Amino acid sequence: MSAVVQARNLSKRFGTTAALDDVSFTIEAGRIVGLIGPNGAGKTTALKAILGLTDFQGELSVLGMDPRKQRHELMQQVCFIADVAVLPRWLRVSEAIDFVAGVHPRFSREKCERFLARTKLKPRMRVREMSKGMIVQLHLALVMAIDARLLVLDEPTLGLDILYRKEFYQSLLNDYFDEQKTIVITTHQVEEIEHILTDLMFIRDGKIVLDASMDAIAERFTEVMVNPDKAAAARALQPLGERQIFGKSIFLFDGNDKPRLAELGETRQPSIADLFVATMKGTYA
Amino acid sequence: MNTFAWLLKREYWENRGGFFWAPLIAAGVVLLVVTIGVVTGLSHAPLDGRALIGGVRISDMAAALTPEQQQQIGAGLNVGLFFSGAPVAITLAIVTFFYLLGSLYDERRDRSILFWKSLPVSDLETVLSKVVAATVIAPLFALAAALALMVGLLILFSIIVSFYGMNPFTLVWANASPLSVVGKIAMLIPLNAIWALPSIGWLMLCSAFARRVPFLWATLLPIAAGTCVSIFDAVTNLRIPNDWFWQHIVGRVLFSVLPGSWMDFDALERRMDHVDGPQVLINAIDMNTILGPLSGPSIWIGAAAGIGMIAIAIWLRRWRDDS
Repeated sequence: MSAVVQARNLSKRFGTTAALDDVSFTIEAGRIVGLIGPNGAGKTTALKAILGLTDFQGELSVLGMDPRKQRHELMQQVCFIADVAVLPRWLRVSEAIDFVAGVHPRFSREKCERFLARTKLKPRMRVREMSKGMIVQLHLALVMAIDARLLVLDEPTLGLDILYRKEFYQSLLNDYFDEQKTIVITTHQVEEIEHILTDLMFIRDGKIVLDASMDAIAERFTEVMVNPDKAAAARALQPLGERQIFGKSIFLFDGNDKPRLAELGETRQPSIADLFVATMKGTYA
Repeated sequence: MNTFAWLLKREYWENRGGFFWAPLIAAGVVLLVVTIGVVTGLSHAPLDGRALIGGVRISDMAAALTPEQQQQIGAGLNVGLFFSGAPVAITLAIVTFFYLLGSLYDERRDRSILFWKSLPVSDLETVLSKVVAATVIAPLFALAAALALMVGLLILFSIIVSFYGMNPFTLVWANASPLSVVGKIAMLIPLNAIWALPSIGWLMLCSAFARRVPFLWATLLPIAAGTCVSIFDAVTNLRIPNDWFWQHIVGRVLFSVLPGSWMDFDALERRMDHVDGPQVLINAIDMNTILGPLSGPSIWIGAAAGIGMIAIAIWLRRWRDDS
């Protein structure tokens, strides 16, 4: 399978700070990639570069096209939800469907109406009359009805309650995703998407600090709950992170020998959130 | 329907209030004011509807009109109808001015530009659809409102005429020709559009460029430049043409969206020197009126500048990254 996104030595500076610092990565087709990083780490800049919304240095090919020069052709195959509340407030549901159906060759009106039938949205409703959750439902229905090869979601569930968030990812997985499609998501609510991701990328200070498939991550990282008497032995193995809970220490290890770690205490699979916190230690310091 | 038609429809959806309702309301206000005047006037008129001028009933006078006089009445009515549209035209100018100022700014402010940009529509098409909305769609709606106003005024006039015992069909409807007046105004739409290009370009450029308050950028920058030129002109002997700057730069980038602001009143006056009768005025709106302003270089220089600024606005919409 060929790469959907291929980035080589991507750089972008805002004044003295580097939003992207010589970044290279590849996203294969049929993956769901989580791009995770603290605020200001360069996630949005990376996505904007992929979508041809911003200029940058380096080489970037999306579906074999240069997003700077071939943005118009690219957008036939790529779709994105940038954030909540980017739908214009005056727009009616019916107008949104008519317009997208009119300008997008790969939009299916029938699909979109089927998605909307599951919601409380009515054709005459304007965006300004909707709650945040309903706006996202409309946006998602529009986007999922487009047969795009790459879908980019930048904080798609920001400001939504847990019911809407669960529903959002559920429909994305059940009604949209297949092997022909690729999804790139950024979000701060990592724990909610970790079970749907196939790949994970951590970005920090404009650099990719972790880029691996979820399977590889399960192989690599181990969390061990250690009693105080063995804590010093655990520390000697250079853990990635350490935190205390109920008088025990929990150590996070990268690439250590699993049987050996099992001798120190109870081992388990770390959550993405814990991995994230350990990796991003000291970011805001 | 192709993409461009959908973009125009989109502009209409967003600006229904300005494009559709505003000229209609302006026409309604004119009609209301005239109606109040008519009602007040008629309530003071003799109740039996018999008015005498020099001892002759005006209904008898009307019945005795020669075809030539009938024609003059028609011309008089047509001129009246033509100028009755002025409030609608001014409304159109104000709506267009603010439409253009917001055209590329509002979508950045509410970040909906990210939604529009998620669709396969080029920046060129989007910006041009806004130009066409300002130069064709909005004027056509205003024209329809003006036509409605004209018909309303003729109905009012018919009521007055019949009040005085005259036949409104032979006197008013047979002579006035609102459709030909509207046709003449419609003929001017392309000229208005070419003339408006510097304003369109400047306002859209400010709209695409300003991070905040595009209105202040659009107005203060040319006014400040004009003031500088005036001061420079006053304190030095370098005779920079001061009035010229205000008229041909400041005026053109700010006020060219006013329909008919290309009108050369001196030339119009010269053409009317040796003739009389109202038909001359309405006849003056002909191919010569349209071709007159188009023959000079200044309108084309302005249009080229306008197109240049529109091109920069397209480039800014493509690459501006602040939302």
